[in-house]
Amino acid sequence: MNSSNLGQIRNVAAYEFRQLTKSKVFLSSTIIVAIIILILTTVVPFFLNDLKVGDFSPISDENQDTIVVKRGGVISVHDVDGSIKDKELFESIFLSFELEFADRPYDEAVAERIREGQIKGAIQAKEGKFEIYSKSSMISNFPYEVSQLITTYCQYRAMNEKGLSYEQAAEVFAPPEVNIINAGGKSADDTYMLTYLLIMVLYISVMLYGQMVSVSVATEKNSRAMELLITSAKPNNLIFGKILGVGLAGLSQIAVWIIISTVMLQINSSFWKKVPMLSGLLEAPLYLFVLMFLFYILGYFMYAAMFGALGSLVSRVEDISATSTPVALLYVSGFLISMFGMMNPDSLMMKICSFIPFYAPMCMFVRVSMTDVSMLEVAISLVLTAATAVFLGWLSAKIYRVGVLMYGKAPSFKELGKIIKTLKNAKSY
Amino acid sequence: MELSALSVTKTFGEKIVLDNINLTARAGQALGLLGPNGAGKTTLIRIIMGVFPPDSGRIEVDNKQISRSSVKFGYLPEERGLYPKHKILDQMIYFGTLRGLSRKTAEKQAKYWLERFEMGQYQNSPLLTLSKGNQQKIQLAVTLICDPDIIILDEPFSGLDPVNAGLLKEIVVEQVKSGKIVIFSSHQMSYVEEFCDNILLINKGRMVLEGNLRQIKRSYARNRIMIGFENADAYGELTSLKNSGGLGNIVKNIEKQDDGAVVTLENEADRNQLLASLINLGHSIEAFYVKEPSLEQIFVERVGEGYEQQ
Repeated sequence: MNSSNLGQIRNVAAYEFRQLTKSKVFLSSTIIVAIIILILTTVVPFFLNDLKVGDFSPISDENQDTIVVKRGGVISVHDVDGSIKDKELFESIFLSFELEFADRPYDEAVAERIREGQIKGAIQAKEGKFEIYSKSSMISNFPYEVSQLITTYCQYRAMNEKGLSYEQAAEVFAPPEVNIINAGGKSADDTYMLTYLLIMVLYISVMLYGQMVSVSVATEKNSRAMELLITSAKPNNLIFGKILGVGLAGLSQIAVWIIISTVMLQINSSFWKKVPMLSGLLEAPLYLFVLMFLFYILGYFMYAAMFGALGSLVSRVEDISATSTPVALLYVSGFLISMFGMMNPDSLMMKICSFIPFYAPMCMFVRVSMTDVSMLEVAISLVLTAATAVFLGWLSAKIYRVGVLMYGKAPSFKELGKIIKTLKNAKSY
Repeated sequence: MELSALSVTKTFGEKIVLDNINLTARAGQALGLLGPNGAGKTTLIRIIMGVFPPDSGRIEVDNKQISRSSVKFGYLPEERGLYPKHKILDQMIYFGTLRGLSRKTAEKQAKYWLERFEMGQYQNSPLLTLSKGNQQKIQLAVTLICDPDIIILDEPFSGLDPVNAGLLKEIVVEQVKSGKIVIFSSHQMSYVEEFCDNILLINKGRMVLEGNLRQIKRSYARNRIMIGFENADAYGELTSLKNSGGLGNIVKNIEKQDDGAVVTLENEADRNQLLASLINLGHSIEAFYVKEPSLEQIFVERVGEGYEQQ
């Protein structure tokens, strides 16, 4: 490749980069996501802090003037036959709820109040058995919480009946100090969230910018700007310049987001360190980011080359989605494999997939991030992916060269193969 | 400088698009590339510009294999196309740099041509905000931005009003005079006759007619005589004279036209005999000259022939 080719690639890349980063869609998406990051990183800590309902202790500290906020809502307690022997204990266990005791059994009137949301639910105690009434909901864990509290109450009662005081019972129930120490290198728990986030970034950005390349090619074809482009520059320079320019625009967008997130997380680091699954994010080793960068570049190039070639085959932008479906499916399947693989990153499937170039960027990244993988394996995976990326780049340049001048129906793969064959012998003439 | 295409042949699949085409275009001259729709003109242009190679044949500049890094092309495609949403100056500079200009030169050239086409005030507008004719002018400015050695114009006059057509004509003539090779493809024959010294007519991928336009016209039988009389009644008398056999058997046909009549002779050597008969009619003669076939007539005749052969 001589210097005039490089110059042309640089010109194409620079133009694509400038036009893309100047576009309203690009600017607004960068800003909107940045605002979402800002909101999440500033608001969530307060929100989570607020939600922390005080740890339960049945022993009230007399010396402390505590204002108990009854967040849990109102529960109507129907103690029909005096099954709840120690109401005081019961109330202290249901600390976060406001209890309304009644002797009458649970009836339709109470059900109505639950339905209308006046009260959270009801408990009926009869012959030593408990029934919990509540509005069923997917997200509410109210019945489980209540049943747990009832169990606790019953355990304290049982201990008390065996002759232990509540204080003694509390000592029995006090959990021992157990520390879980990971002896096998990385802890999947610590890195789960980090890996999850990075895989998401990898997935979304490669998909987004890869498809942007195909849309951009199809738009040039549709507006016939291609007629001039193809006579002004070599097709290889056009496609590689475009992939490079869009990729750089994408990288700079992600860089903006990562910088904002990092700064915001550092500002609130005292809080984030307490969130178990996120703590890994703050202590993530640098090589992980370097590796992510490498896999991002390779994955992006590989898929952008395929998307670019597909974009050159359609005459109208609307036809892209249909034509690019196979590639999109290939990519989504890689994402799903790596997502499921995160549950068990050491599985055979993950090991195999981390060497399949189309899946390697995400699957190998999951493995490196969550388990210990030898450098050799990482290197092999990188080399295989890089080789495939180079091959696909070469192939897509060939397809592009033919595709950009074909209007009408997109050719079948068989027709395409024929045309490429005829071009093969014609050297850069 | 001389650009030539030698025995260029190109097939797409089974279809022969160009069959043994030869073309020569010289500096300081305009070559008219003619042919009906689908004749293979665009394919020939693309091969000349190196978008794809011919199956056989060569493109040469001054009898040497063309080197596309040293020859600059300016191309106005028939299917106009630029970036509709991008700013005009931005994309002009871009196309300039793609063709090897530095950014600075490209900007200077872009501004020069925008001024030339009286489009300076639009330089920061997106292309699609312009009228069709103005977009056409931008497209022409992009064609000329890199000071090309070879200018290929495909239907440059379509969509231009008479004033802008005049402006473009002036620029094309100026380019030809400054020693550029201009290849001009159009269906508007009057423009071709006006600019082009040489023509190449192709039909269905084959060369139908090639050479100097003057010579081609002269090669046609010079038996059609344009006659003008001062008095319009003279034409009627001429027709009756022919019908009564007064002109002998030298006249094949008389066509009445707005400004006179065209007499077709059986033999071009009978011209003076015709003139003598006209003088005998006694009317004042205003015009008497050999009417050459128009390019349009030649085109229709040659392409028509081609159709019959197939």
